[in-house]
Amino acid sequence: MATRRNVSKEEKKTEDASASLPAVLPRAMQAEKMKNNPGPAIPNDVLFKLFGFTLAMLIGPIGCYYLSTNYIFPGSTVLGASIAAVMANVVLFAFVIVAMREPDDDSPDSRKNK
Amino acid sequence: MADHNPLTPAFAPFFGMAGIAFAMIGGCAGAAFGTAKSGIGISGIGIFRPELIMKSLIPVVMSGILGVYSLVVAVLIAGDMGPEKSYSLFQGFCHFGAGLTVGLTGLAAGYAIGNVGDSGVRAYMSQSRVYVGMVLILIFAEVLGLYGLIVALILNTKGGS
Repeated sequence: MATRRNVSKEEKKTEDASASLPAVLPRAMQAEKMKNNPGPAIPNDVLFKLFGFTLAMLIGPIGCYYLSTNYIFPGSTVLGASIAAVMANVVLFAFVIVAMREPDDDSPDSRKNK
Repeated sequence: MADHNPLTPAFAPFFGMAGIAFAMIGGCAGAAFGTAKSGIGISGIGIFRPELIMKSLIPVVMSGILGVYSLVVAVLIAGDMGPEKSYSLFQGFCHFGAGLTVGLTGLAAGYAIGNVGDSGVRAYMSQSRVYVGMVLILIFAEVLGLYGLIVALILNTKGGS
């Protein structure tokens, strides 16, 4: 029960003294830590970003190709292919911009504190 | 064979089909190599600095775009072929060249993205200024696949019906 009681205390300790802890714990300690503290829940905005970019990557380019060849510019497949390639790059640049705006502080839980 | 024509032999669609296969195989091999190699690096740094994972996913997205390029070319070539359409040998060679172009440039770009992504992400763990340089290098590597796509589109219009 002693380890069970330590959960909240240990979590607090990692928040302020994570730099002093060794980055790679010994395997037994790692397993113990994983059992006690399965890690913070993934924040919702990260999940939305993840699903948004996955969907955009899956259906964006190929959907634009079929949309443009069938409805917007029927008969011109090369234009549709160019639009699909441009669309893929738009998704890429959106991802780069979103990733650039991500906070990169040294403390691992800066996002949680904000 | 009423419409037997030396310009449209029966084996001409073979080259178009080979172009489709080369486009998908080469491009997806490159994309898979890039994803796997940079994924190894991202998993490696994710242990130490989990807050960097989202920023480090860029090589994976770029590898995915290589797959999209080859998919687009394969869909284009497949749209030009059909059992009722007459298909000349020149069209077949054009489609073969288009598929080979986008497949092999995708392979090359995926190789570059994989290696740069792995090393760059590992360097980014300890030096955050590497990031902008890494993104630029990745974009230049990915533009190689874009060149292949452009040449493939030109070849496809040359062979267009």
